[in-house]
Amino acid sequence: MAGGGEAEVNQTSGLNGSDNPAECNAGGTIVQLNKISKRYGPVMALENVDFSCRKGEVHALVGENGAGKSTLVKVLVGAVMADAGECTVNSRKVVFRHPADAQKMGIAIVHQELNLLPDRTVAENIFMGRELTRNGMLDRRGMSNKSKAVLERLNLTIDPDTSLRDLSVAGQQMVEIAKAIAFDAQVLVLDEPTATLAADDSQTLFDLVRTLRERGLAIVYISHRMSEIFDLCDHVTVLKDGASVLSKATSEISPEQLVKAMIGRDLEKYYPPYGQVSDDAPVVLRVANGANNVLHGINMHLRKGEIAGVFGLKGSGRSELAYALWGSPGFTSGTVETVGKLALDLCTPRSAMADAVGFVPESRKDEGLALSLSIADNAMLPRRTLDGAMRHTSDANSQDVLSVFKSVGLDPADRNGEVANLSGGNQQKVVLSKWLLTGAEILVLAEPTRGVDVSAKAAIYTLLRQLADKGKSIILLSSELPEIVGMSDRIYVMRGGTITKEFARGADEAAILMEAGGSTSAKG
Amino acid sequence: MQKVEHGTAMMMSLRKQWRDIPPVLWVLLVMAIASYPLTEAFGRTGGFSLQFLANVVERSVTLAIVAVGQTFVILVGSIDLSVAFVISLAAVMASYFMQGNATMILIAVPAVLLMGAGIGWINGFLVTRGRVNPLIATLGMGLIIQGILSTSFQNFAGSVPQSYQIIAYGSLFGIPNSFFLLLAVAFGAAFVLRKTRFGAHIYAVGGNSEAARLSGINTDRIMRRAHLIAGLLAALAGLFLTSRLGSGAPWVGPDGIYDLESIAAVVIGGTILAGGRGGVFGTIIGVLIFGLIDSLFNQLGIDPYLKQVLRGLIIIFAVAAYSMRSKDEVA
Repeated sequence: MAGGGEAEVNQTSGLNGSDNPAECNAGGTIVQLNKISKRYGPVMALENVDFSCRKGEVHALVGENGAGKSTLVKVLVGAVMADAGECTVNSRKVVFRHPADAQKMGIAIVHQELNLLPDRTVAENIFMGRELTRNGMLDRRGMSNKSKAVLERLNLTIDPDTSLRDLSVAGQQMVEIAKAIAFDAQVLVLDEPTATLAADDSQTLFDLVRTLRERGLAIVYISHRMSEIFDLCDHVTVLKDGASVLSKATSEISPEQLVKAMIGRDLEKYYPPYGQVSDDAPVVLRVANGANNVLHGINMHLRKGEIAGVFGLKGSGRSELAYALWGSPGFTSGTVETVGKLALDLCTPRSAMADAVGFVPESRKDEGLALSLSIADNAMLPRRTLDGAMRHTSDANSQDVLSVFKSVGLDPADRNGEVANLSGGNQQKVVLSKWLLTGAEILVLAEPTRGVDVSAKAAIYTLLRQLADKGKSIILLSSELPEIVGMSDRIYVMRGGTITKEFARGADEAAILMEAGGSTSAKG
Repeated sequence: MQKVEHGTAMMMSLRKQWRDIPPVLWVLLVMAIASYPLTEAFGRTGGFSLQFLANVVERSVTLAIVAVGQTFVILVGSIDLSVAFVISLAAVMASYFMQGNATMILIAVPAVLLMGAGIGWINGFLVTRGRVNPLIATLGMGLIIQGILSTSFQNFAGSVPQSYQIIAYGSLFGIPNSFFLLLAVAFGAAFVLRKTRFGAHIYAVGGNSEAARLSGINTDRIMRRAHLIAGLLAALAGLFLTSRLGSGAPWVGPDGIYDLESIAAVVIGGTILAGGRGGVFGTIIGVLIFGLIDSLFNQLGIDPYLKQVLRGLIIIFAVAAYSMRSKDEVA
């Protein structure tokens, strides 16, 4: 068991205040959250939410971004304190003031972004904050042996003495899970664990989750992916606007019902209809035998008004292709033609811009936006670059800016607000606006809906289709298969640094995934 | 099969230990070897002797003590610019308390150490609770100390008794006492960093503060304690300096540029400014490199200001070498 919570745990003398935790486990409920409310300034993040974790159950927690999932999880693991409501662990009332309090009660979490120390060993990471000591000194050998035992119990072959930096992302995540459950955790919270994993690494993760469930852990599983929710999870709770709107066994509900509960509308309207691009539409971009140190034999073309999807798993070269089309770094051999004319090399972002290419990078916050600048200033960044360094900068209040903001669905009145305060979906619209303001004809979009909630996704899809219908040509690079299939007029599949196959619109998802995965599985 | 595995395991651990040796050690050795013919040929007093090497170490003790304290704050992801002023304060206070009276040593030394620790703790408090950037918090603290000192003491404040100077000038079995002080501080600090939970927590907080917090580490407390150690060791350095000089004056700390040089020594020693990686022995080697340059230039009678150029070059090249090496690691 998780040991005493001591001073931090207020034991109730109430009706259920049994002293024997095992007795209370009979019902199977380990953690029960009752009527939890949390307010951030004017925003009601959670309102009277009930949530429970049962022994041996994988409980999916879903909802759009901003629905209150992360706040609820933070309350559960003691990272924030609720304004109202109560939490019981094994029927004892508890108050968590610090993540350590929750940890002592056996509640562990694996965050979406890895919280580890790359310069320290696996064992040191697993025991971070709970180092073993012998005679007051660190017991390195003991920690190493125990880490080894924990990793072996999870069927992982990771040497506890290697430094974390030497492991793959998937390996690091396994270490994080090992760290979370190494100390008799009863509840494990996984926050979008597959977001950073390639398909076959995800499979390893699912096996691990099933193993843990058999061991009797309660698992809270946060995910956006329907397939994971229905394959892996026993129960699902949907949060919407800070309230729990649905809580059912996954066997009693269909994916359609679930999505409807999440977004409050039907799935069919999620993707706009395909475009009407004829086969003789002019080719605006053609790459022949494009190659650089990661890519080779890239042959692709893009017609005017078309959305061409590029699907590839992590490590397939998909990200690198996006950067190559944007010249950072570009192709080192092969030819690139834009808008049918010159074979200007896309060797720097500047030359790509001159060739009327626009680029939405994978990481909005690191590469897409200058978070300390205003919305309008962000949108004007590339336009002003083209203006030249010593010239008077283009006015952020110009008619162009207003009309572009209107066309992408941003409120022009907000243009002087900080871009950091916008939601993910609206931030992405700002990034898109940058290139509409430079008059780009070709848009290279890398993971344009990453970290964007469901309804904002739908809005972005509609916007992209509108742009294509108006004559912009779009290359959509994504690791989300439904998005690729739902949006693309044509689909390229990448594997091992090159394009291996082309599919027509609406192709079978399974066939695409098979092609992308290849015959040999590439272990991380 | 077993044997082979054992063999590779041994190789691995050997290589790991090899990697644990701070690479600047080789720089120090090369410089020491290169200085041999130089001092023999051009040295003003004697040549390359044991005395010369002892001199190098003796010159380095004050800086070494401060720099060890600085290592703690830099490892935890902070910095301390007040150390030079704390040294001044400690030196002035020590000689003011003692006034040549040997019995006062027993009161003055703990009082001064306590004061240094207190200032360090306040620094840490400002950084953690006040959310003041450590550069600003410690610089502000340093200026306050300097201002109070300069208005209160215009010149050398009292003097230390003869018996107190044994720390700096006495010797045991022919080995100068200052060596023992240096070794005690270095090994004590290394022990704390490598063998205690507090040490592990320092690396955790410096490596990824959020991860440490989520792992149940009280990051603010670790930060304050690291600052406390830096203040404590700065005061100790001040006490040692007083023993060397015989008295304390308000300018002894800033004159020695102990703030910037301690940071430079830490960085040369391989501790990264962002925190979470590095250690005490690298710092000591960094200090010894500075000491060697000092003694060498002194011996050869070269313009002392020119040595700053060499120091500057070494700092820049050391950091460039480290960042290029870590890029290799990533690739």
